[in-house]
Amino acid sequence: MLGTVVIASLLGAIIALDDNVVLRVMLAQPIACGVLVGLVMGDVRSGLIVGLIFELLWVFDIPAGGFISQNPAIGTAVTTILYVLVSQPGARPAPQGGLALPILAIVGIGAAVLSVAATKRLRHFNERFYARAVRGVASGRLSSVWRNHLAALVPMLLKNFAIILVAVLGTKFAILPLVGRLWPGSAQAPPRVAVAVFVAAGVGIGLEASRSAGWIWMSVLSMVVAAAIVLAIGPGRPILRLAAVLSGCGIVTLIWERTRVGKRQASG
Amino acid sequence: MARGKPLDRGIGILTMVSVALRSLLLEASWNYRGMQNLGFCFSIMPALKKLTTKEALRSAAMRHLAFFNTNPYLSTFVMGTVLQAEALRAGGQEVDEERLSQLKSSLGGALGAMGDELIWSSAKPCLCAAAVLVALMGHTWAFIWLVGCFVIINLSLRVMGVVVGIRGREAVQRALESLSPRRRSASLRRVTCVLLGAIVGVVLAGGWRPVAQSAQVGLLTAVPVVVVVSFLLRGRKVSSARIGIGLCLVTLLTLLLV
Repeated sequence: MLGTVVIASLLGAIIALDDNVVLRVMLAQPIACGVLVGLVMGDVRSGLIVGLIFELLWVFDIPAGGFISQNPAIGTAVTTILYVLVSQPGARPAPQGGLALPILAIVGIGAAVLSVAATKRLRHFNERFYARAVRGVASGRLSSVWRNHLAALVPMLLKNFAIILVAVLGTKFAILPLVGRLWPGSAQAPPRVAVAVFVAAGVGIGLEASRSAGWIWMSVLSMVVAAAIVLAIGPGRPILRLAAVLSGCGIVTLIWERTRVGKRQASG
Repeated sequence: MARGKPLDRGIGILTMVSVALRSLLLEASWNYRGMQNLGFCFSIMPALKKLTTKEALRSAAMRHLAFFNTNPYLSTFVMGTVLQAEALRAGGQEVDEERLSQLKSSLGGALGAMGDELIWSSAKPCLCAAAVLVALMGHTWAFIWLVGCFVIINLSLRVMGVVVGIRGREAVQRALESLSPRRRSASLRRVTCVLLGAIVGVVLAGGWRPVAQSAQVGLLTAVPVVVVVSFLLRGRKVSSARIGIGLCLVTLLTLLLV
């Protein structure tokens, strides 16, 4: 199992580079990272649950320019690996269900916050690569540009890997046994916790949505429409439900834009 | 500046694509002194090699190791414009270094602000919210669609940036005007709000299986909380991590006390 954890941590570290270092194709978004790390750990469903919860939390984060935001891929990888480990039947130490998801979410978010400080330090460290490249070009070695530029990826990758691995192993061998000892009955009622965390994430959505645009009523309206559509169609037929919900959302947008408030917001 | 003749500067289409692809690594060595400078020099190196002699290449590389920062998605517009100036210099025309440096910083600043608004604040949340909605409806691999969309957006903007930038600053201005960033970002934000609302609605109606049975009661209680807390915290800069940790702690406390 340790080998799988190391491979999953390495994958998480590579994916985390997409957040503010290379590519920028949204592989570092929790919904992608959670599923991919979950796939390596052998439990895609757990990866998707963690990914969805974290995606809603970080949906409005902007990893731009000199501003370093929490790396969502690091948080997602840590929480996914741990959640898969504690979700296995007969997994020890407790808690397997009950308190697991909120505790692991805190650990994951903590690791993502820690990555901000580490990235800041590494960006200062990168000045050495810059100085070396300048010295190389001045002495006629143009290859020093690409060498130093690409060499800077190594410490960044190692930093991501170290944070993920330390957070996973530290939680597995220190925090979870302690929680299990303090609350021995914590393995009960897993849905309650999942619901509670999801509700928490839902509050996060509302906060972020209103902070960015102030269109909270439009969100509430689309929420009602989507809920009505899902209830009307019922379980099964996912393609039809998806098409119906997306069409409903489109209609809500069009109707809202024709109202007085919507027109005022669009012009403002 | 002749419009519609991008290849007459001695830079072929393959070199342009190479510059665009290298720009995917623009921020690999991001540092506080020069920000994306090393990445900028690394990205335009294949084109500089085509434009200048071996002797002039060293001084050209030194010039482009100066401070540079912009939005990574739109960075190639600056690269193309700078390459156009380098091509003019290689053709024997006088290009003031001071002006070239001003051009880099002014264009970089403007594109940075525009890119942050269009990509980070608008397109990213919108596509991510759409991917979440698709995943909630039972499609586990929804992220492939999200990543695919961003690969297309990313590569097309980067290749377009070099091709347009090399035609000159006016061409860049026209291209960016045609993107109409302000209107597009406002529309994308509206769609994001609708999608976020729909996500809560889908879970509320039991559309997400892992929490289908017991989520409804929780979310019914959460909806008024969402509305009230949103209005209370509107305009205040509270980070997502703080909100998340705070909410997880409240959840834990509630569960332990109940």
